[in-house]
Amino acid sequence: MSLFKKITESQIWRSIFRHRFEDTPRNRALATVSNAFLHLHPVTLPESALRVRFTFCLGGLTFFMFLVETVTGILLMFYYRPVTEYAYLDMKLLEHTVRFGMFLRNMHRWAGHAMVILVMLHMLRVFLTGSYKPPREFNWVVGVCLLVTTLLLSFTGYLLPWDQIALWAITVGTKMAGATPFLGADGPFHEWLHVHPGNDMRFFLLGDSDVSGNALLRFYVLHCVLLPVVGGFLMFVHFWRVRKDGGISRPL
Amino acid sequence: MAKIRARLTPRIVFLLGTLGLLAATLCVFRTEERQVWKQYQRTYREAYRKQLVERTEQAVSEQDETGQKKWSHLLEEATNDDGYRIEQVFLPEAGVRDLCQTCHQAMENPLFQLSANPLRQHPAEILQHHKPSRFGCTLCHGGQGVGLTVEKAHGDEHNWPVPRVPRAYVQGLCLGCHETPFQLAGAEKAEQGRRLFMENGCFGCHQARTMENLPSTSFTFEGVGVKIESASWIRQWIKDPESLRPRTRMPTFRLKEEEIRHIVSYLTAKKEIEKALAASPPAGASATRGKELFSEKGCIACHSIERGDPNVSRLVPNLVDAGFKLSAAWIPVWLENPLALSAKTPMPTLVLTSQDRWDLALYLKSLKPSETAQLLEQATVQETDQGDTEEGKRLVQLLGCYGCHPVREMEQLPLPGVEVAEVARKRLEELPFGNSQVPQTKWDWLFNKIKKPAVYETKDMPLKMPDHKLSDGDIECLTVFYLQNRYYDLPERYLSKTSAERNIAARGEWMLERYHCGACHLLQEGIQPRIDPYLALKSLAPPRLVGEAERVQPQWLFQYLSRPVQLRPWLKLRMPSFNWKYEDRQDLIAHFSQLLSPEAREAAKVPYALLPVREDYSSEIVAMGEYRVQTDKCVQCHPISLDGGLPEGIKVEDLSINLMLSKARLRYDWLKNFLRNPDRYAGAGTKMPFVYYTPDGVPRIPEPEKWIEYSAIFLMFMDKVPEMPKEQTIEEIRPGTDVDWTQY
Amino acid sequence: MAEQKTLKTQETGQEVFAFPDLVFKELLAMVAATIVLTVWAVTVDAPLKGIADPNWTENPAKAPWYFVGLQEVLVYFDPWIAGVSVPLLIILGLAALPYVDPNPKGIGRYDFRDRKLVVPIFLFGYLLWFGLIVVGQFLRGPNWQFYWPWEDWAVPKPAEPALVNFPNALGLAAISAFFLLGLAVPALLGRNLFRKIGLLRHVIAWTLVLLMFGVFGKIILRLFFHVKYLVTTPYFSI
Repeated sequence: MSLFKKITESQIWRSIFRHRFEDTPRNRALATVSNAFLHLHPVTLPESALRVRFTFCLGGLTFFMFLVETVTGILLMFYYRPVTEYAYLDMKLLEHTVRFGMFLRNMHRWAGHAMVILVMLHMLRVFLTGSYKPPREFNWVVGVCLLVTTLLLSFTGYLLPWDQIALWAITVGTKMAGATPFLGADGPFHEWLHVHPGNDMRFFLLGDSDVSGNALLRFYVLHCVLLPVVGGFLMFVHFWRVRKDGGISRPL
Repeated sequence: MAKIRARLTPRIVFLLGTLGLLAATLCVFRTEERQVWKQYQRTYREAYRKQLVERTEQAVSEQDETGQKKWSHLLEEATNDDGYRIEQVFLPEAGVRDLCQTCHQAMENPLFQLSANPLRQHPAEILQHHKPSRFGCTLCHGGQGVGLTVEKAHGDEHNWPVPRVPRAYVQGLCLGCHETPFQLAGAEKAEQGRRLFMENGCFGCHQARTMENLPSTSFTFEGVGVKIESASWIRQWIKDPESLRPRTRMPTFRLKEEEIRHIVSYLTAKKEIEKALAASPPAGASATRGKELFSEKGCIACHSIERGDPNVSRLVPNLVDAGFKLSAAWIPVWLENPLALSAKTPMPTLVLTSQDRWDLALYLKSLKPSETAQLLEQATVQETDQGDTEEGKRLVQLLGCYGCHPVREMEQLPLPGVEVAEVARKRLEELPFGNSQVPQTKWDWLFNKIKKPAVYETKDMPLKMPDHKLSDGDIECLTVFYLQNRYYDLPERYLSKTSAERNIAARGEWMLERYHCGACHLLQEGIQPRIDPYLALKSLAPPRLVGEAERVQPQWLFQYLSRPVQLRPWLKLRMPSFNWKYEDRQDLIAHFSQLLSPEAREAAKVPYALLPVREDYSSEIVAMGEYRVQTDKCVQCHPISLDGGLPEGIKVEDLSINLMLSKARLRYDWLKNFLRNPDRYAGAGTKMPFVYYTPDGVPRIPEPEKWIEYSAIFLMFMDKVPEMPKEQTIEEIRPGTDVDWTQY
Repeated sequence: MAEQKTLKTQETGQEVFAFPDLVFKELLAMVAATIVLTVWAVTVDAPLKGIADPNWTENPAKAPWYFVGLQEVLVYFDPWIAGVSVPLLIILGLAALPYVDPNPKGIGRYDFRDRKLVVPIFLFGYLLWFGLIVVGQFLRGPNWQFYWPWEDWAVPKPAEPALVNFPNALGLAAISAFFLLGLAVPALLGRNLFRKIGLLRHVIAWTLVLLMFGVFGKIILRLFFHVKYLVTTPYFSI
């Protein structure tokens, strides 16, 4: 027996992979269905759905970026402390003392930007192919929520290097929250609800009346825990709905 | 059966893609490996090993057992040491995270004293006081610290506000922890900068640490219209001070003609002291006598009458143009009591009669050099050309003249210049470079600003600072002083506040310079006072002040400094009265004490000297001392009184100081030392003879120490004139011993 | 076994197995994306400025690039509109889209001919969004003044000419006219569509569209006619 056969017919292999490699419809089907990660796909699908020039793999790439972000993000978490005394310093240490640190940081940053761009392009594609029309309306709404989640993930991550770009970008961004009508200390009609900088919408977001250590920690938790979980949850629903709504859209 | 395979095109694309990914991964690894710090560590290790091998071999050839062991042990250590390591110093409360030693591996290795950077040993003495494990590197050198490429570690990227300071200016960073560079070993440039800052009066406009309450640099403007007779002189002085006095401290302002006219008009209108002025000179006032008095009374010691005299202090006005400049009526009033006209002037009150004062006034008025006459003619203000007094006042306020020249109505105004600590705090982005081509670093900005203040001027930002004509070396020292002249934001234990003694020493030194004591008194061996060539005889000179704290009782000195009394009445050159406050005199005395060696300082305590008490000594001892003083005929040169005229054979020039003063004035220990070795304690060439010992220390009389003690004791308790011993025959000494020596 | 590889179905087109065709294409996409990311990460470093210093304001202080469009809108509107209302309305508008678009045509293909109303409107919004991002990110310098990319930011720009406010009556009239006409005209011109979706959906859909055009209109008014506010009250201004 060839080595390949020896391995693929051993008990260990067969306990993990429940299909063979011979080109039979059964094997092809099993390869999809018996795989925890691949069984999201339908077993068969129309050829038209495979055309790259239809979807441009935008949705899939967005999800891939999310996975890249998760992996690089976890690796970065080993070297980063979300307190004002260490945050900036840790960025510098990543750059110099951590092996591949700069590469890791760059990957995380650019994959993040790529994810935002890709999600917007994906939205454009779905619109232009009318793939939001019934029965896919709810999935579109879930997609909009995912868009917001992606933007928020990027926004919360923007603060973490704790440099001038970060601080002032988030200051500008949250100042707008302070301008919320009724709920923001700088918005119209805020006196009606006795809202002031110590208890307004901005304070709720930042944990303080200015961007400070509280904001840093809060954003860190949002960025690393809450928003990925929410995003994962929404993606779960999104992918499920794609299947249940009849797969990638095609002319009826 | 064929295996499941994708279609052909995707498989080709996949192959290419994998190759591409492989290439990208190799790129990533390559960037990682080619880091410069690893190269430096490799080079260091090789060089170190080579050196150790050489040393070991040398020790073997010299048969040096201990050396051999040491070197071979180190060589073994070095050979086994192979990995790449990042060396860091982490001091969280100081915000220090320095990776410098990763590249600068040889920093503490004496074998690399002469190598090239980065593998060069740091100067060892300063490193002993500032160990890198306690201070890191960036606190003293600036730079980023957290970086492993040359530019990033040295902070030469624009996300780091404090780049590494080049060696020429590195002493500036000492001031981030040390309060003052005075007497700070290794901070000589910063100290020179501090002295220049004080000398040139920069503190008049720019407030600085440790210079809060210094007296102003120059005379007050109150009454300047009365003091200075010639408006043209003022005009020429403002326009181009160097033409009237080379090396002057007065800077050159960049003013238009009409602005100068306004200022002149304002100044000449300030006649507040008119009422105090004297009337016309009395009959018999003579300029010739004034000329004699000028050197006799010691004016020449401080004030020069030659333009550009290099041996005179820049802090003292030159009187070469006094004839044009000063008004005759003002001079006698000034000489009588300078403090009444200018409250903080260093000019002392001399011992002069009214006649003397007028003589000097006339003499000064006769000083009218022709070249000045020409200059002033050109600068003459026409009657119709009078400027506007109000405008002049506004200009004086704007340009900040009141920073050096006090003006009563401008007392409450803030200082015209930026505080030194403020500039030290500024980031590079906050420094205005204007349209200049100055390199964009903080030290270059400072250097060029001091060199040519108008260099950063733009249309929107006119600059008022005038031009001081300083040499490049001086400007460099001033830049060092300015660079980091405020405490870093560090915990207490990093900061080094100056001790009280050092502050006193700094103040004392400045006082000696400002009041120009060195012009008359010898303060340091080898530096002759300026008055020396103008004295006929050395014995007429003011006393030496070398080791003064050892010699005189501090209580006495304290009194003397507030009101000098005549110690040698036959002298013409008298100690003037300075207006010193209690603290000033204290500081001066403490400073003198610090100039002594530590042992001498221990023996001669300030501020009080313990004096011997009469009851502790028997009357026999005192009588023996009196006997000694009588026999040694001390009174011949040290007169007690001059009632009976001079002793025979003694001229005025040979006279020395009254012995009755010793008990109040001199220290007991010093007296004894002086009697032992006059040359050492009163300066070589003193007329005091070697009575008790020869100059080589061989006793001249039996039991010299006992006699020295008795004499000194007597002098400390002397209350009447010891009589000169009578000449006696042996019959009178021992009556009744008539031995016929012919029998033997 | 050619037939076993593909299954004909009664639905459109031929069906293929997900494994390996779809999965392999996805893998290729991931490899390509990884290569692009890696090259990007090796060549360009992520930016890092000096440490955060609340006492030293960056000038200009820019939001992240995806929000910089909203920051640009701040020039034309007050913060409660530009920062709060506009984002909320964008999200609401996007979410409402499937429910107000009754056109069943054009699913599953790029079809512009059959969707002549909704595609231009969406594209207009999309391009406006990215246009504002481009302006805010690349054409705004210190003090949020307009700078071409080749202009030096160290050179200050002259102050803007003074802005005028509409008198409230005129402003209210303009806004009311805009909305009334904007709601009435499409209803009158597209009566079939109006009947299909009903009044409520029509009002919601067209209000959102009109608000979007209103933002654009206000930008024009500000840029070319130097109008700051249409309606001014002590509590809020539009």
